[in-house]
Amino acid sequence: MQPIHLENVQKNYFLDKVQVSALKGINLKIDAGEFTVIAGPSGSGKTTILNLIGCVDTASSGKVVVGGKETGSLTEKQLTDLRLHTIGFIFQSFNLIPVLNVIDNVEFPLLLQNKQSPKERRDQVMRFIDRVGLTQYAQHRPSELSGGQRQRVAIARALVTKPQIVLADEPTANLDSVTGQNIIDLMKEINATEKTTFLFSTHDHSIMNQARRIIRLLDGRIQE
Amino acid sequence: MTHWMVLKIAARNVFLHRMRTLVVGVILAFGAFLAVLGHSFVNGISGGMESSTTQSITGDIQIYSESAKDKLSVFGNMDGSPTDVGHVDSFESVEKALMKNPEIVSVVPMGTSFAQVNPGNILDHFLEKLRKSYKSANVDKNDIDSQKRRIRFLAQEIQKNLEGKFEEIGILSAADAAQAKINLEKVDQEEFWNDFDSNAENKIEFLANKIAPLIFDDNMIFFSYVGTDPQLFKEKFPQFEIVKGEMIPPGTRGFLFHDFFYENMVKHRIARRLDQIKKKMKDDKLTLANSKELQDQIKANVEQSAEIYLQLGPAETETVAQKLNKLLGTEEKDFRTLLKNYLSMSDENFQERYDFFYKEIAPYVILHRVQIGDVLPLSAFTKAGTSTAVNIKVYGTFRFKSFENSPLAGNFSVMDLVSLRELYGFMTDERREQNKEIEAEMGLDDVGRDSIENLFSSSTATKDIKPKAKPQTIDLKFQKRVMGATYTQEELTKGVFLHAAVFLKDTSNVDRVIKEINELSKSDKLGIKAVSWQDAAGFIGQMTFMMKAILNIFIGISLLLAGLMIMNSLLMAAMNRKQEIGTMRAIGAHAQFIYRLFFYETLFLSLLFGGIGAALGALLVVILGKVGIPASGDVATFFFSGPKLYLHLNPSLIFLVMAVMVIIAILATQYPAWKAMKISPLQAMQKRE
Repeated sequence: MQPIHLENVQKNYFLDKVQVSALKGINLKIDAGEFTVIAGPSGSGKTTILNLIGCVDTASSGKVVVGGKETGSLTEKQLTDLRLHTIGFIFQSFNLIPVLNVIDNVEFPLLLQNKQSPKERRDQVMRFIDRVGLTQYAQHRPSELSGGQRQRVAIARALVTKPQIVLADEPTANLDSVTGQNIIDLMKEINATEKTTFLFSTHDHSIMNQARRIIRLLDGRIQE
Repeated sequence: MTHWMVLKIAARNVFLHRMRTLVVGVILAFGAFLAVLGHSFVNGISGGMESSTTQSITGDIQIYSESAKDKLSVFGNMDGSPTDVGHVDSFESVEKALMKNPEIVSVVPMGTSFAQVNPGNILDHFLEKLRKSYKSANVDKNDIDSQKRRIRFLAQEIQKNLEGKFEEIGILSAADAAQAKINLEKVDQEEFWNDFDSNAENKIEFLANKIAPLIFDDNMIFFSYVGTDPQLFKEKFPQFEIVKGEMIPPGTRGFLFHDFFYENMVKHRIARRLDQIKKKMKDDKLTLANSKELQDQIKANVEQSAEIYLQLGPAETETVAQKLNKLLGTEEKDFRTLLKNYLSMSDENFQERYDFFYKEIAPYVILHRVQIGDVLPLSAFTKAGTSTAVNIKVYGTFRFKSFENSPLAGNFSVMDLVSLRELYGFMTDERREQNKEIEAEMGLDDVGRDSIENLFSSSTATKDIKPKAKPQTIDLKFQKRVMGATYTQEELTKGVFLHAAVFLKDTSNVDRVIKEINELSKSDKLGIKAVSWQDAAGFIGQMTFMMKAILNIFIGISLLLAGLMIMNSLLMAAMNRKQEIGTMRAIGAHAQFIYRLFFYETLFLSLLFGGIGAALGALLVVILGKVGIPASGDVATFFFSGPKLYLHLNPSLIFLVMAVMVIIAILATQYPAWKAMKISPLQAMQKRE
C-alpha cells in the first residue's frame, strides 16, 4: 500500500471568472521511503499537487489517497487530523511561529497531538533539534536565526511527529546554494535513516539530480 | 496541554504588539477603574441616602391612600410643596390587617407637611415675657419694672436705628413713616410708662402692634414636619434620640425640632454664621482671606449687627462694650460701630472673637429664636384652602444617631398626629364634641360638622355672632381648644393618617411584601397602596437610580469602546497573521485552536488590564474609605448624607467587574476569531521572498 496514490486527479480553479485547469488528470503512486522530486517550471502545477497531497486543498475530480485515506470523503476536522498525524510540512518561507523559540516551534505539533508526557515530548524535541544541529540555538527566536538555521528548525518541526510523509514546497528557494545543499543533504540523510517518504518540489537542477525519482510536470500533466 | 501553549502564544502576542496592547489596555483599565470606583461611590451615596431616608422617615415601605391624587413623595415636590396624597380613614384597622403579614414588624402612622412660623422678634419676645409676668400668681414689681426699662431701652434703640432713615425704608408709606415716628416718640415719653401697670394689656398691645414691626427683621422659619405617634416613632426609628429638652410625654400634644434644623435655622443668625465659618475653616480648610463664601458671611454678620445690639439691655451693652474695647484694643464710644468692628473678623482673630462671642455675648442674647418650652404657632392651609392654626409646645430637639449631620435625615421635625389632623381639618370625635361646645357658647348657627376648618372659613365668618358672645369669651375658648394638650391613644390610632411607614423583618423582601400589601388591600378593601422607600422618597429616591444609570452609561461607553478597539485590533491581527495562522492549520491545528488563541489573547488583555484598573479603583476606594471624601458644599453634604462620604469596598463588585471583562473578551473575540478560523491552511503556502 503506497502512502500516496493519485488517480486521474483534476484541479480547476477560477481566476477572474475564467476557469483555469491546474491539473489535467494526474495519476501518481509514490512508495514508502521514496525520495521524490516534482520538477517543472512555474505554473506547471507542482504546488497544486503538493497541496492536494498535503490535504490543504481538494481535487475537482479524481481520487487522492494519502496514508491510506481517500481525502475527498473526509471532513475538515478529519483532514486536519490527517495532516497532524501523517504529514510533515516544510515551507519555502520556513513559516516558523515568530513569538516562539526553537524548542517551542519544534514542540508545537507534538503539543497539538497531545500523545506524550511532557518529559517524553521534551526529549524528542531535543533529539530532533540536535539532529538538525541547532542544540546551541534551542532558546533562540526565529528572528535571531539565519535562513538556513530557520529551515533546519522547520525540518525538525516537520519530522518531530515522525510522519509517514514529508512534503516540502521548494525548501531551498529562499536559501543560497551552499545552505540549500546542506538542507537537501539533511533531508536525504533523514530519508535514509528514518525511512520517511519525501516529496518535494523544486526547479533547481542541481537538486533535482540528487533525487532518486523525478516527476516532471508541464501544464498540469506528468511528463515522466 | 495545548492550552498552555495557546496562552503562551497569546501572551507573547500581547507583549509583541506593545503599542496596541497599551492603548487597548489603558481603555480597559480605565473602564474597570471607573466601574469599581464609580460604583463604590454611587453605592456609598445611595447607601447613605437609603439609610438616612429609611431610618429617619420612610421605613422600608410606605403606604398611603389608593385614591391619592398625587404620588406620595415624603420630601414633597421638587419645589418643596407637599404632595396631596389624601388620607386613609382608620389607622387602627389598616395596622391590624397589615400586622397579620409575618414579614411586617411594625407600622407607624404619619402625615408630612410644611410649615412657616413667625416666632416673633426680640420685642415680641420681651412683651410676651412681660405679659406672663403680669398674669403670674405672685407679681414681682421689681422684675416687671426692670423688664419695662429693658423694653423702653429697646424702643429707643429702634428709634435710633431708624433716625433719619424713615424715608429710606421703602416698605413704609410716607403716612406710615410719619405715624411710626410719632409712635416711637410717644413710647419715648415718660407719660407712656407712668400708667403702664394700670393699663398693661393695652400698652403691651400697642407696643406689639405698632413698635415691634419696626424692627423689620424677617423672622420666618420654614420647615417640614411629620405628624406621627411620637412614642411609636421613637421606638421604631431606633436611631432617634433626644438632644435638647425632653421627649414629648405620652398622650401629650407637642413638637420636637430636628436638632440639625434647630442648630442651622432656628439659631441666632450671627451665632449660626460664626459656627458655619468655623466648621468650614476646619473641615474644608477654607480661609477668610480666600473664600468668597466666608467673606459674604462675615459681611452679613456686620450688616445684621442689630441682631446683637437690639437684644442687649443698657447694663449689658455697657459690659459688652467695655470687654469689646479691651479685646480690640480701642476706645470706641459708639457701641454699634464697636460691634461692627468686632464682627469684621479676619483669619488672625477669628478664633479669639468666636470664643469671645460665646463667652461674653451669647449669654445676653436669645441664642435660639424658638426655645425649648416655647409654644409654636403653627398654621397651615387646609385642603379647602382656608387657614387654621394650632399652638403647640416645643418639648425639645432630637436627632438620628449616626445621621447627625445628614440634611436628609434632618429634614423633618416631629409632632403628634392629632395636632396634624387638626391643622388639616381632619375631625376627631373629641374635636366634634368640642366643636359643638364652642358652637353653643359662641351661639353660632352652624359650624361645619366635618371640618374644624369651617370655623374660620369665610362662609361662617360672615355669619352673625350673637351679641351675648363677647370677644374675650371666644378668645378663652380658642385658647382652651388649641391647648387641649392631651389625647388618648385610642384617639390617635382610630383616626386618619396620610401615610405610614412599614418596617420589615428582612429588607430584602420589600418587593414581595409590597405586592402582598397591595393584594391584601384589594381583597380586604383597605383602600391603601404600598410603595418602596425609593418611590416614597420621590425625586430623592429617583436620584440614586439616575446616578447609577448615568454612571453605567459612562462605564458602558468606555467598555464598548475598549471592546471595539479589541475587535478591531484582533481583526487586524488576523489579517496580518494569515500565514502564521495558515501554517498552524497546515501543521494540524484545528479551527478551535485558532479560536482559542484569539480568545486567550483578549482574555489575557482584559484580565490583566481590567485587573490593574480594578485594583487601582479598589485601592482608591479603600483609601477613601479611611480618609473620607469631604463634602464641598450643601449639595454635596446632602448627597453624602453628612460632611464626609466613606466608601466601602464590596468584594463582589470586583468579581462583577472581572466577569464583565470576561464577557467583553468573549464578545470582542467572536467576529475576529470567526474570521481567523476561516483562514485556509493554503495561506501557509503563500510564497514570500
